[in-house]
Amino acid sequence: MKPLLLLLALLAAMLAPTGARAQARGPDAGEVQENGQEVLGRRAREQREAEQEANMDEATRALRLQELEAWLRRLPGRYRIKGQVQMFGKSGSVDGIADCSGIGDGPGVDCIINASWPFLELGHNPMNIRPSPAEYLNTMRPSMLVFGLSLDPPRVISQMVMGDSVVLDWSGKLEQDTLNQKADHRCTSRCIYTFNVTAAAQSKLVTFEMSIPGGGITFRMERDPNARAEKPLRALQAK
Amino acid sequence: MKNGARRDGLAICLMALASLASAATRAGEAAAAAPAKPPEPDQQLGEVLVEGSRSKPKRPTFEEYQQPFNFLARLVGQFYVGGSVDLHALGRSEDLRKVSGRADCVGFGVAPGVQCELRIRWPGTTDRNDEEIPGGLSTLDPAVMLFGFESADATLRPNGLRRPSDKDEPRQPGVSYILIDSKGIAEKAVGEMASPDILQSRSKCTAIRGNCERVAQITAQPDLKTVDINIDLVIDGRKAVSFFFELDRVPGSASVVFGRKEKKAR
Repeated sequence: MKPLLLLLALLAAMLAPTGARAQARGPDAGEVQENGQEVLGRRAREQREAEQEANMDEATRALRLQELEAWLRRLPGRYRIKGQVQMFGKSGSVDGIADCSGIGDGPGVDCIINASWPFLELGHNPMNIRPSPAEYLNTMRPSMLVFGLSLDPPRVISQMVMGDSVVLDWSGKLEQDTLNQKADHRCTSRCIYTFNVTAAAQSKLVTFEMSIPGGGITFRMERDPNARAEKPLRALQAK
Repeated sequence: MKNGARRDGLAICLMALASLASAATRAGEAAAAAPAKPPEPDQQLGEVLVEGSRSKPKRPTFEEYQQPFNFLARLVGQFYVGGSVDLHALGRSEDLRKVSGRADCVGFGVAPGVQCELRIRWPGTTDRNDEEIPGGLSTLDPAVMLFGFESADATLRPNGLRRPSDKDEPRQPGVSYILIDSKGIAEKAVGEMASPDILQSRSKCTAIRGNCERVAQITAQPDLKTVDINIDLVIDGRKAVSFFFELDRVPGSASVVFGRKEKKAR
């Protein structure tokens, strides 16, 4: 019995280095086999998507760009904004207007957003966020938002400059009628992590969904060519 | 008993042989991976002494925070645009195209953020096969530029260390901007203040695929009369096109800022 055990130990010692190399070449740690389907972790999925985009053939690339262009051309118009802001269990309603126009004949879009919501009394600050999330108040009175295209990989890039001049930017891909964007900026205290825009063809409604620390902001933007801000912005002459 | 001890001894010998064999295999693989020839004597490194110390990023001063805001305020206004496009960036007169146009930059908010509507054009140029060349045709008629404040604080973790992915981000407060051209292509960059008057940025080209970098410098003079924009496209490490836009403030034009509270007249 003893020699048999020793022989097994010997075989294990001989196989061990080979096994270690095989494991190193094996599937990504994020990949799991479940019910016959491959389930990937977020990082592994992003890596795979990036590889697919890098190896995309010219015809697919051109088609993707065409789809993005067609989608961007749905955005120009004047909208009345109704929505909701939620932070740490408290919520408030959002009101405002948005005016989006195309840039020349191209698919680029330029929006001015004037939206506000009541002060949310959060009490304690559960995530110790500095400055307080109430800082979001008034930072869209106004804010400027632009959308454009990235050719390689085919994506929509957007950037918003808030009323306090802080820049937030995102990039994302189209899934059916929704542009799913993630923050390109550093998410520390002030942040909109994701910014998803839904605009169906021929629809009067455009939806903005933004996720912020401890909650989210949703704009339901209905097309209304006659929408006017109740307190229009006043242009001042700076000396 | 004697046989058992002999078998144990044999097994120990075999194990030792196996581990020696695997070590030899690894050594063989390493030898195969190593270059066949030893390096030339002049390519061999001598002794290199590296010294270093761990430094914590310094918090920007009040003046450094203030610089981007002052710079942004200088961009607000209406401008005539002149300048030139050097199609091959070789400084030859036959490659220069004269630029003309307008820029209308409005401010908004407290800082202010700045949005510029550009209408800049120059005589179109294509190559012998009538194909487009970089910078040959204006895509800035019209175009929109959006400028805002980029905080250096946001690039730091709470422990004061920079994230590995943030190596391209500014170490000082700066100005972030995006340009959407008439074809809808977005070019964005994060600029650092090289001086109170000069913003510099480097970013990957969006409109040109491959190894292309946009090197930009925006100079806004404190007298508020001019803003100069220099953009070089560096393709495969070589300056391929050079844009120089000179913005002269329209005399007597208003600087418009939206969204500020109106000061009450006394």
